[in-house]
Formats: sequence, structure tokens, C-alpha cells
Amino acid sequence: MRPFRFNADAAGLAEVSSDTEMYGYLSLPSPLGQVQQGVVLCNPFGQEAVRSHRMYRVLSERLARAGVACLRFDYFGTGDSDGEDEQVTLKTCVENTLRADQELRRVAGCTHVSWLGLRFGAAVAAFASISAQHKPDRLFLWDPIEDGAAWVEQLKREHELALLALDFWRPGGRPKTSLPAPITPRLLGQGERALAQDVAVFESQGFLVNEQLHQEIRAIKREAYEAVRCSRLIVIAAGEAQRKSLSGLEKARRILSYEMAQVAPSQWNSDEAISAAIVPNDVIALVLAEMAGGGQ
Amino acid sequence: MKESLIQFGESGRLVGTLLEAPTFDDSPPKALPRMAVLTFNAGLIPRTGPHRLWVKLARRLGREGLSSFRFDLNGQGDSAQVPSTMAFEAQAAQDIVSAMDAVFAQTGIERFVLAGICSGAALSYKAALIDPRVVGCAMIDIYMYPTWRTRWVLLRHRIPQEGLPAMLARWGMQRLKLLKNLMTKTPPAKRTPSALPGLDRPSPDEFAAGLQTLLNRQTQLLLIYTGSFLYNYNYKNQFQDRFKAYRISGPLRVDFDPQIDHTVTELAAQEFVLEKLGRWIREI
Repeated sequence: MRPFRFNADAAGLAEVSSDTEMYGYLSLPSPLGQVQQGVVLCNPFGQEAVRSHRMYRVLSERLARAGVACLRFDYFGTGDSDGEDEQVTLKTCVENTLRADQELRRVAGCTHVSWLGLRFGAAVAAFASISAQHKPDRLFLWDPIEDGAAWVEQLKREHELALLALDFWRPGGRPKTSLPAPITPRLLGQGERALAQDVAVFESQGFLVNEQLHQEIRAIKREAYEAVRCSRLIVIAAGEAQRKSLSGLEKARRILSYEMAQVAPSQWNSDEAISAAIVPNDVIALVLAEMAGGGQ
Repeated sequence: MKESLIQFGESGRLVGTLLEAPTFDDSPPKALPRMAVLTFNAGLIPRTGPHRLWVKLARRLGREGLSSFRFDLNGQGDSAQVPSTMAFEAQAAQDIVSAMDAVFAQTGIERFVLAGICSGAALSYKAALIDPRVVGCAMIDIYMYPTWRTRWVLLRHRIPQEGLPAMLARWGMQRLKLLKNLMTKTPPAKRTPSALPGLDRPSPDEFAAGLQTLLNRQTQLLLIYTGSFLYNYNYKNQFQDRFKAYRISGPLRVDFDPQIDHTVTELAAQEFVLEKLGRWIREI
């Protein structure tokens, strides 16, 4: 197990400067021996990435114990990687994923690499697979965003709800008090306000969404997943409704086999989960079984 | 500005990111004292901090020539769980001391400022008490001690919201329940003494003594109370009112910022806190 930083630029792919580094955490089987399989974990966006940190850590440790090398990493501009919030775009996240895949193959010597993406991370992994030099063995899309425009609205709504819940005098809503409300323009000076508004299209629970990212997210459609390239596509649907709406992805032209797994919707993404670090064991078990070959 | 990873503590199982700022020895006007700012987990949030606040603080300070180290405590974030017989609080304080050792080994810096939120604030306070290398400690939403005025302010806001009859009815029900418990000898439900899970709130006497110990050592202290716990802290001079009798003296500043929330969610709130912390740290 080791944390490390690796150069984000590879083969002229990246838009970032040549000394930009990303943070990664590599979980390797012990004893190392000949590792054949590896998994790259693609983070969700913003607050969801914070809330999923513990379950990604547990998943990577469990995979390593099962003999599978695992790399989790932070995209440029997120987590512990170089770059600032306002620089995050779907395009750079896709590039970073390709770079992470390359790094896992190089460091762990894996010949078969699979990818798993949760929410926004599923879109990143799916889009990255389209241009990957080595297509992923298995591609796990966990609770993927099906409609980017709707998700944008959801992020905005959740942000508003989070602010309501934050305040303060009693549960259930922001009160009408004489206290200053925590509204952005009141706090910022003129110059800073102009600066923030230059790049921020909207805020999502503490994270900034810039114009390019906003447009890229809005363009995510269910049909986009039909272009994925992998040997085996595993869609992990959170609940019955999502299973139904995602059915049909088996028609994707560039996959060899397909599995739709439905898991119970988990509370990992709730406000409370930030104090509890919920890890949905059914998903962990499903991924482990798949990687052990049980799903084929 | 280069960031590098350090593994430290027992068997190198703790993980942190060091931002070693370039020194300005050749240009005295820009020279800052050689010290590093240490941040770590707030609750279960990884070392990047809530909404990446500690990354933003590190890079902002780095641009001004200050080094920083953000790290994960035992078993949290990306740090492995070190087998320990110590209680969480003692182990965490030990981890903070280990982090100072690690930064010293790497950079030669031997003065440190700790900044923490919630449980991180309480742990910063504990670590500062045991290690004199701490020259400053910024604590957001550390222990809260209500006064009679806190209750009055709370009541004044609740009456218009809830309505007096509903409040009286609720109060009456609570008293009835207490009476029933008394009659049936049911032990009262244990109340959480503070908003810091897993961490015991010291008595006012203990807290005042602890703060005075740090202040006597000339450790600069900044306490920030946000608007997230208005039922426990809700007016500007609450701390001063509650601790007036202790005659605490020294470099202590207490701010009440009800417009920001506990985890500094809004971008504007982040800017507000980063600016405040930055200014305070520069003055140390």
C-alpha cells in the first residue's frame, strides 16, 4: 500500500503543464508476485467524492487482499492533486483516467486492467474507454449519471437544501432572523466577487462548477454510454428505477459481455454519511466476485 | 511550489502532504518566520479538509512563503490504522506530535501553527498543550459553553418560529416525561456533552486553565464560532461572558461568525475563512 504522486502529462495527452502531478494511492497484493489484474477507481464529483472516499479505500484494500492491484487517484484540480477547483473539466478527468491506467500498468505490471466509476466517475470512465489505447477489461459503471442536465439541476437543488439545513436556529430551514444570511455577495469584496463569478457557473455544496464543466456535464446522456469500449460492461444500478432506465445498454456495440446488477440504494451520499463513512457491502462483494471471474 | 508526500509515524503508516515554501532569506521585507501550518482531518473528512479547504489554505500560504503540512490521523483518510492501546484522543494528539517531528526532519522547521475544525479543533488544542513547538492554534467550533443569555437569545428566536403555546406544550411534555422517569426510576438518557463526537468537553475550569497555560507560553490562539451551533453559541461576546471570572489574559482572539457554517460550505465562506486565517497567521 503506498501513496504516491505521478506526472499528469503522458504522451502529449494532457492540457496541463509538464510538471503537474496527480495524487494516487496504490494498493498492491502481498506478497506482490506476478499481479495480472488491476482496477482503476474513478472518483465522483465534489462532495460525492468526499463521501465516497472511505468506500473506495475499503474497496481497494479488499481488492488487494484478493490479489488485484488497485489505484485510486484524484483528478487534476481535485483532492490532493495539483490544480485548483476552477480548472476541473470532464476532459481533463478523462485524460487523467487514461494516465492513471497507464501508471497502474507500469507500476504494478498488470496486464489486465479494469475500471470502476461511481456517478460522475462512471461518465469519466465510460468516455475514457472510447479513446483508451488499451480498452479496459471490465468496466464497472456504478449508479452512472444518465441525464447530465437533470443532474445539474439536482446539484443546484441539493446545494440549496444543504444551505437550508445548515441554518441554524432550528432544524428544518433558514429562519428569518436579524443575523446576516450566509449569502455569497455579502461576504466578498468587489474584486473577489468579480473573480469568483468569472469562473463559477454555480456552486455545488462547497465546490465550484465552471462553464466548461457545466456544459460537459449537461451533455451527458444515457446514449453516450452505448459508445463504451471494454471486454465486459457491468452496470451497477442503484434501485429498480435506474435498472429499468439503464436497461438496453447491452446493445452497446463495442462490448463482448454485459451484466446488469441491481443493488439497494445506499445512504453513502447522505449528509449523515459524512460522519459515518458508509460502505455498501453488496457493491464491494459484487466487484470482488466479478474480479474473481465469478461474473463471467 | 512543490508538494511532496511524507509517510511518517510508526512504520511510516501515516500519510501527509508537505508544501515547502521557498524561503525569502535574500529579501528581508518578505521574510516570514520559519514556521509551518499543520492541518488534518475534520471528523472523518480526509486531510484535504472540508471542500478542500486545507489544500486551498496551504497553497495560499505557500504563495506568501509559508510552509504547510496536511496529514491524515491514524486510520483516517489514507493513513493506515496503527495498532494502539491509546484512546482516540491521545493517539490523535500523538499523531500531531509525530507530524511536527516529520516536518522538522524534512525541513528543519521547529515552530508550528495548528488549524482545526470541530474535532480537529479540539485535537489541536490537546496537542498544543503537550508540545511547546506550537506557537499558534486556530480552532473553529471548539468547545462551547452557553450562558443564561445564550438561552435567552435562543428563546427569543424560537418563540416567533414555533409559537409560545407550542413551546410551552413541548416544555410541559418534557417535564412530564422527566417526572415519569423519576417515578419509574428510569435512568435519564445520556446527553452528548458537546458537538464533538468521541471527544469529552472539558469543564469550564479545565478549559480556562488550558487556554491560560497556552497563552502564558505566548501561543497565539484564535477561536472561531460559526453559525452552525446557535443553540450553544449565539452572540458576539458569549465566550467573554462565560469566562470573565477566569480573567484569561494573553494573545487570545475569539470571533463569532454566524454567517458561515461549520464546514465552511459556500465558496464565499471559504474565502472569508481563508482570508481570516491567512491574516491571523501572518501576524504571528
